[in-house]
Amino acid sequence: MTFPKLYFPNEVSQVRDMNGNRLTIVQGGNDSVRDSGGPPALRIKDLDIAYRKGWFAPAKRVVHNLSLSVRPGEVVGFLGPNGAGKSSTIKAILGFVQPEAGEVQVFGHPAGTTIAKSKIGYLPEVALYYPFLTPIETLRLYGHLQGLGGKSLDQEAFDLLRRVGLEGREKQQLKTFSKGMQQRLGIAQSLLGSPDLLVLDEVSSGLDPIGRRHLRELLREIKNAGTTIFFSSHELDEVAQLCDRVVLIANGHVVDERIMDAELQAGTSSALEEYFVNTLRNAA
Amino acid sequence: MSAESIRRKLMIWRSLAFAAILESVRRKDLYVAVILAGLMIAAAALMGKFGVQGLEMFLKDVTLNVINLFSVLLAILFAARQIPEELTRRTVYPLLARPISRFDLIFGKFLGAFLMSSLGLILFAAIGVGALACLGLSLGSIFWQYLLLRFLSLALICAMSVMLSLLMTPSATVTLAILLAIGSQTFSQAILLAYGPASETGKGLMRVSYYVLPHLDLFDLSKKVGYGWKPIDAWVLRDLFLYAMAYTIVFLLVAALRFRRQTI
Repeated sequence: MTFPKLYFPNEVSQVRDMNGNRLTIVQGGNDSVRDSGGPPALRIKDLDIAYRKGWFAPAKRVVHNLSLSVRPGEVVGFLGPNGAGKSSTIKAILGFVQPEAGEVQVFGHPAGTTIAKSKIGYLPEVALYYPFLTPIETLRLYGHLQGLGGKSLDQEAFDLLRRVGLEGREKQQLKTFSKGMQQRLGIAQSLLGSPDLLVLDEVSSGLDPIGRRHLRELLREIKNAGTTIFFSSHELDEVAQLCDRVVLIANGHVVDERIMDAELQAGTSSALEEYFVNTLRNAA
Repeated sequence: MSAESIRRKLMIWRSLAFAAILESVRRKDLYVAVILAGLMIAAAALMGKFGVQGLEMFLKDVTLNVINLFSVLLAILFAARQIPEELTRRTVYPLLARPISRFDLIFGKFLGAFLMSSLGLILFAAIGVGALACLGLSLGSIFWQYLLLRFLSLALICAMSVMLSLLMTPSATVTLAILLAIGSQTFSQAILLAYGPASETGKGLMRVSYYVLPHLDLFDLSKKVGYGWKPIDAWVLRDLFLYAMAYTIVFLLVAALRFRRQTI
């Protein structure tokens, strides 16, 4: 099922350049961004999420009227201060929370359905894995759940562990792993099965500087291969170097979107930091 | 449902169950069985020293009750922690991000708990039979029926514990599951005793409780094994199988309904 462009108002109307002028996105900053005319990789429309503690307690609204869309092949940074609703939005993409209102679609499929989930690789904010399993057993488990199996799964699992720097630790139980090593394993499991859309929540959390550099290189490879990436991060350097576009949210709704132009992608985070702080200040 | 989707479901359930069993084995959950084995064999050897003349019934009774008690406790403790632990450890996120349904997760975990507690039952039974054999005692062919019914009751207990774990705290789950599983017979007898003098409302409530709560005492043939009864008729086993399956399915469906829209 495809949706007309009209359905994505903030894709075409809320994007601004460095001087605050509105821009229309026709093609993202990355050549690999595809405008195939098919459904967007991710489409969120008028999303409302509220949490209730107890049956009679009033609901606490954490996401309100949030809309955004991500095209296939695009890399989008999802930014916002703590408590802005980033993780809740990501949970709605995976179907972990039931929205009060609005809809979320992944490649045209309702979020949370098995077909939508089959297209997603997900890294949770705090990645914890079975402490008594080894990395290879963990990847086998997730691979089987993904519908993979046999020698090709083993080969992919070993290859991913090598790519995230866990070579030689394949048969070590995870209870002996540091937080950073668990995060590396988390990244490996999110890449299992070559997903079309990568959803990464606080992707560099717990990684040391070498791990961050590895991760950046890995994500760049994945981006160049045309995979859509939607990630939240407080590391603006990472965002500046990887993203085609940033979406900024505060108090549960989108306050701004912006294409990462040459100046912002120059390699420093200071311009992005300025933008982040100023936009949030103006929104408040 | 196509053959491919059935194959995929089986793969999902098997993988989840296998991971649960592997983790439990590595956590040394079954060490309790090994310790118990040592104690039982030591106790049996001690009894043997003094001779077991006239104590056959007592020894069989103790052995079968130990098998019952420990397998039930293992099943409850193992099943009750499956889903809550996934939630508290947050391992549930990467699991449910995969193309599986929440029912798949529940069923896979149930299967893991059932297989693990069945493994425990086999181990306890082997130890018990071995200890009795050391004393020259045997349990007769009804023992196999006893074992079969214990497996069925473990399926029911695991499903009940998984369901309760989604409705209440882990400690409350364990307490209630133990009360229902071990106190089942006492509870049924108490209802029968209290039924006569009760008011009409009380009788109604007791009737509902009597028919709604699972009668796990029906799955206990230990007394018959102890007294050397002949094997029971096949139709009884068939009906008990259907009874256990019905309760297991209902418990798993309630668990799935509760978990279906739960925010994680």
